[in-house]
Amino acid sequence: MGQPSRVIVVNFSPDARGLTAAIVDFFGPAPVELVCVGVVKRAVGEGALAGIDGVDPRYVEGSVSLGVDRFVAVLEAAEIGLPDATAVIVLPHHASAEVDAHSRLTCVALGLACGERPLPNTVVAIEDPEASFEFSGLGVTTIFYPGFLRAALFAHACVDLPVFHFILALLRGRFRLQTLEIPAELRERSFGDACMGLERDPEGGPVTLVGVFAIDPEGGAPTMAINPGPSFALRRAASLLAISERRR
Amino acid sequence: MSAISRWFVAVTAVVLLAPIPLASAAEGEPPTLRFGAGSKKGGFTRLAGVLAGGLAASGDRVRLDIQHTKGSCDNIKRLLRGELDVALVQYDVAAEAFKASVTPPDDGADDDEDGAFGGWMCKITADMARGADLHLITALTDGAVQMLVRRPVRIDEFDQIGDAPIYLGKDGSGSFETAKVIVGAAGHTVEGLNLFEGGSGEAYAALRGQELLVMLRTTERGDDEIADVVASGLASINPLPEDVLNRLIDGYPYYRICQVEPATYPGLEYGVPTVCVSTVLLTATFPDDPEHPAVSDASVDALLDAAYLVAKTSDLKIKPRASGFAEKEPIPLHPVAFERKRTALWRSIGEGAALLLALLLGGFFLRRVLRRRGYLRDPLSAGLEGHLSNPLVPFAGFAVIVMAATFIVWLIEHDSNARLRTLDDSFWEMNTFATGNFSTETLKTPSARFVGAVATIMGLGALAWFTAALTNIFARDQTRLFQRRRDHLVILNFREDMLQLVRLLRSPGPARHQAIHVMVPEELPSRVRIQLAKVKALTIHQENPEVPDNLIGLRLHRAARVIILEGEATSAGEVFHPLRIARAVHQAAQTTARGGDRQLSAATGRPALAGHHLSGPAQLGLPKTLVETSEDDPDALFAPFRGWLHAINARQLTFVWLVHAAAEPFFADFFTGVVSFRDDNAEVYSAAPPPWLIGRPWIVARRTLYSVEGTGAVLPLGLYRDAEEVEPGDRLMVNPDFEILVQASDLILALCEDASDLLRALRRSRKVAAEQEQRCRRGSAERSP
Repeated sequence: MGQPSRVIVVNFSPDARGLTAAIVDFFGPAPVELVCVGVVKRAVGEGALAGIDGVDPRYVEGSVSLGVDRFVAVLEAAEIGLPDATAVIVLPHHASAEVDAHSRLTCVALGLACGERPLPNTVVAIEDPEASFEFSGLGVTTIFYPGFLRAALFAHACVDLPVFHFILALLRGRFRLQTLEIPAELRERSFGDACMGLERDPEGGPVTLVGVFAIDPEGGAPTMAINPGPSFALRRAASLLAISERRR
Repeated sequence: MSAISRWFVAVTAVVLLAPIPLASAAEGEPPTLRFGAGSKKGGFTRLAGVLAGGLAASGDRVRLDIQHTKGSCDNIKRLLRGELDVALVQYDVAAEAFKASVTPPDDGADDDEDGAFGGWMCKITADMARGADLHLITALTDGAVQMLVRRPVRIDEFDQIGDAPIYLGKDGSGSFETAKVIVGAAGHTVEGLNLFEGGSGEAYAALRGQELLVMLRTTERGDDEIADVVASGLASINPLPEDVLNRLIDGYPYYRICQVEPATYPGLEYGVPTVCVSTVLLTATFPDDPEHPAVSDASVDALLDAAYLVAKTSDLKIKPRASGFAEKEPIPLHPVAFERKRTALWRSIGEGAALLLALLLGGFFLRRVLRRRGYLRDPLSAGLEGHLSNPLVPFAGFAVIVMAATFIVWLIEHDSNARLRTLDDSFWEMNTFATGNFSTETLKTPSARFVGAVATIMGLGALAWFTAALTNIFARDQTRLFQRRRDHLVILNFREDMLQLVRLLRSPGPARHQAIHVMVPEELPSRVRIQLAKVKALTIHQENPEVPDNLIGLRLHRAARVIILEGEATSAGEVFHPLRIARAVHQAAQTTARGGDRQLSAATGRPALAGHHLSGPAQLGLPKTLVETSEDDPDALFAPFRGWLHAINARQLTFVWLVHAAAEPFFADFFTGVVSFRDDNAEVYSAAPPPWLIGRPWIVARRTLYSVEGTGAVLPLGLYRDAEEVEPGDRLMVNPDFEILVQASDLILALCEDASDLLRALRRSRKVAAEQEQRCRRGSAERSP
């Protein structure tokens, strides 16, 4: 059995208990360590986390409301292994006067807590979509605006119900997005050729190519290009993006 | 000579020379009138003969003693002298004589000066005319001045005539007098022209012999001799110049502007403007001279009867008229004629009123009948009636204004204005006026100008109204289009953070043109309302969404989708709950689907809540509805509606999304990419497979879509099996087994830039599908051994 995934949830509150359930559900039988950092009293937090099957969550009391330095000290004292975490989820602290500013300061504190090491995969949920640019440079991987998710779901439900079901299934983790190495024989070919040639993943299951990770000519990280077109030359791609049914 | 001698000579002369004023009738014989006609073969004599015949035919109450004269001039002079009882006179001559008769004597001048030529037609002096009261009995026929010009010459101005020979008529005839004033109106004198001497017959001969350039003839339109000349191609009818016509009418208003109609003569294809003058029946009385008794009223009555009789029977185009034959008619009507005119006027008024009454009554009863039969709706609600916003109303008003102005202006000026000779001329002029182009140059008289000004103002008003009504229609139609309630999207219990949804629906994608109806709570901030109001084709309703009656107007049974959002608590602590809204949707949709029949449950007094399992959602007209909820077990809560309503636990999905994004770093990019309707992005779409793909393995369909050329990139993802027998959880098949067969109820899911790309690829896939199937079979066969 490998190293268990460690997920840290910051700004946890009892009404976010559903998140812990979602973590357990998503990671399934794989071992997962869950650390929740919240502003509520320890007893309340632990009470909210109690009774979740398949995981032994740990609760740490503290938030950036204490001050960035003090919060960093709390995190370091708790020894939650922040730099080595699989993922960090920063929830909005609704009690704050400026929710997104609180989240930004939290990310600053997280960055300080990591020291010289980069932030792990960090997802921040924000309240105001206009605040997303404020997080640039903090090492945050994903800024998430829940309103967009609701809007996207309802919009697709308005347009096309089968597509809505597809998105719902994608969201619920029924499909797996995976990167595939570009086979040597296809490296000089096009994306259309790859679609015709790559019908199964290495495990033998049916797979559909949905995009590529295009090489950044300036040396940056490859960027995802969904459906780049059949004539897209694969020599410009670092890897392929495929979707397949998640088999559990 | 002494005064006594002079008196004696005068009396003797009168007794010897003057004809007997009224031929004394024998006992039982009708009286005989001395009737001034014209030359023996002239038109006046023919007219006199016809009248005499008419008198005989209409009771023989009066007889005519037709006296041959030299024409109008001779007749008027004889009439003034009392030598004739009745005479035919051209009206211009008669009117000039009348003006001479009413000229007040110049007390300071001696007899000779007062009697000198005053410039009146036929060299009539005031002294000659004074003492005679001229009376008009009736106008009989119409003559038009016709300018015959030898072809190929065409005359636009009289100056062009120069020294060329011109025939104006016989000196002393009315025709000659008319020609004189026309020449005068053109700025010339008769003396300055090279006049052709002789009779009309000789003039025609000269015209045929190329010796004459111009003939001015005042005769009836369609005259045989003119017709012969025109038909032979020797000459053509030329119009009188417009300035000449106007000057003539201004100086001699005894004419009227008219035209020689097209086809009056062979080859005449257009109307020729000219002036017309009538031949009238004139009588004179001498109040101060008992020697010349007036023509009796009975005789005038008989003459009028005869005139009306021969108007019907004769071919001389006799048209008795008491007025309306000249621009101005100064000669008073004979009392008998006046009485007849008044009677006729009252009769016309009575007939007109009766006709109007009949039309009104007919219209009233027709309207009642149409209303009873349902052809006319409530005028305040719909239909053509009573609609101020109906552009047909101002258009009809504009037409009425133009028509009325056309007729009134024509009535006022057609006799005097060369530009308004016909109703057609008047119609186009009034169209010009009514469209805002008022001009004082076209109309001459103040009354006509007033009518023109009124037509201009009213016409502009009607046009503005018409424009406004049309604008209203366009705006209304646009509004209707925006607010249309078919295949529309309804969002109930809207809140601020769902502005993102509206933006997404209005971004490039299949839903961007669908009408959106948003029901907002009262507490929704005005800044959000303002943002919503800016969205195209979006209608805001502020109602309580939990009340079914408030939803009926949204016609939910025709909605493409209904979205019920979770509400935020109001200041009063009130929250609209999605479940109660779902109930209201159910009831409202049922009501509207049944045309307003609620089918109330006897037990509850509310519409029966029938589950989908009883009669099916489609039969109930229930819309596909999505409910946002944060309940822990939404499926159980919304179970009664599960056939048509899909509950989305948005909060739980938010958590799922966060976890997914945290676990798979590129999930967020992919998810955002496939759900955003952007021009440079690919989204997931579904489409029904074409018949040639049905029954073929998925691998064939998939390879076919990859291989279709000439379309945008289509990446097939899988199938959605929309069949009753398939469990809802199993309907979506992404990357299905390659051998699974595509069914008719399936929808193909694909990732492509636009829905049309997928449809185009499917349309063009027939040939490729066959090729791919053969290739698959070959591949299978090769693998089998």
